[in-house]
Parts: sequence; C-alpha cells; structure tokens
Amino acid sequence: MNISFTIPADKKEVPPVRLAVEELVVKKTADKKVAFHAAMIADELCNNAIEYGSKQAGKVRLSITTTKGHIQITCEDEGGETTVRAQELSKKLSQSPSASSIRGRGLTKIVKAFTSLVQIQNNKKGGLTITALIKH
Amino acid sequence: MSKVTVAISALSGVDKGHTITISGQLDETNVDNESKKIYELLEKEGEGAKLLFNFKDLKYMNSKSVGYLADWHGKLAKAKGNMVIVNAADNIMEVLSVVGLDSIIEVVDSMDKAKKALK
Repeated sequence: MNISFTIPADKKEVPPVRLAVEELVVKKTADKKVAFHAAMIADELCNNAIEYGSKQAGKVRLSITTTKGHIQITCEDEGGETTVRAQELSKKLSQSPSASSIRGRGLTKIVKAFTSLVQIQNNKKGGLTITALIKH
Repeated sequence: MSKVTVAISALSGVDKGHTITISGQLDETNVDNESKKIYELLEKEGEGAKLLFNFKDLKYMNSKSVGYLADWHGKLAKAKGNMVIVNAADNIMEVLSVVGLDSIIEVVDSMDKAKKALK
C-alpha cells in the first residue's frame, strides 16, 4: 500500500487524514493498536508541520507506505518563517519537556515511542521531511 | 473540527469536587478552546479543588491534550488540590504511559476508586 494525502496547512484538515490513516492501516494489518499508532503519528507530524512548517497558505504532504513488517509514514512541509532546521529538531528529539509544560511531547515522547526510527531531513526548497518507521 | 464534549458537574460527597466527562476526539482543532472550561473551574474553585476526569467515551487524545493534563495537575498540586483519571481506554492509557503521566496522576478503573482517591 502506498497512499499520500496533500492538505492545506490548516489544522482543521488533519482529523479526516488521521481517521483515514487508522482505517487504512487496520484494513492492511488487522492490528488496531498499530493502526492507532500510525494515526497518532500522522496527526502529530501533520500538526507540527502546520505549526512550524507550512504556514502562509502552504501545503503538507503525508505518505503512508506499508511493506511486510513495516509501515513508513512521511510528512513533508514547505517551510515558513518559523521553520527549524533538521539538525535543531533532531537535537530536540533527545530532550524531555518539563513535567508541567503543555507542548513538546509529540515528537519527543509519543512519535519516538511508537516507532523504531525517526529521520528528519531538510528539503532543498525549504521545510522539512520527517520519516517515521513502525514495525509490526 | 473534531467532535468533543466536555461536561462538568459537581461530585457528590467530595468537597470542592467536580466530575469532568470528556467524550469524543480531543485534538488540535478543539483542545485549546475546551481547555478554557477547566482553567475557569480551577480559577473559580481556588485552593483544594478536586477533579475527577472521566474518560469513558474519550476516543482520542493528542500530545497537546496530554500537556494540558500535566499543566492542570501542576496547578492543582500547587493549590493543594488533586485530580484523578478514570475509565481511560487502552489506547489513551498507552499515551499517558508513554509520556510518563500515569506515574504522576492517579489513574483508576472505577468511579468508586476515583472518589476514594480524591477524599
């Protein structure tokens, strides 16, 4: 299975994608837990891309590829004024948010816990591509 | 926008106690708005507020929603209050566990246990 979604950089566009990812992965793997993980990763990556990446009427592209034993989720944004570089974000992955802070648990805790690999790359035209790999 | 309902009611037998029942999908499209209700309640009750979060029909909770729970817990701890989570589904429990929140907020599986934890 190889499916991609391209959505406007608007947080209201994300929930239908999250639900679609969950439905597709559960159909493909028959594993509700893995499907929930994939949906949550898709949600967190898309919302990060919208908040820190593709602002100003940009787009976010999410791709799901399933192979035997793996699900690869890739989220690509177009960049914006607040975009951090891949090196900076990779560093943040190894840090923990403070106990009572509201932000900072998506990538550093949840996406990391549900995946076997997270890769962050700078795009040539600006923005970031984050690839997350789930083993199942 | 995802569908979510946040209902607040007095918790009988618990001084300054309130039940907060959250149903549906709590995500980036609605959590900032819905969280205002909890902050207003915390402001209104002040010291010693006790909140019972009933997640029986909560289907989804994103990382920011978890962050709000951590913030409310911090505010309640400072104000000599308390909070407890009850009836969380397995996937919600997993998220709470992954971020380590289940070790700082009491999570129980029945309303009786939740009320006892707040007394």
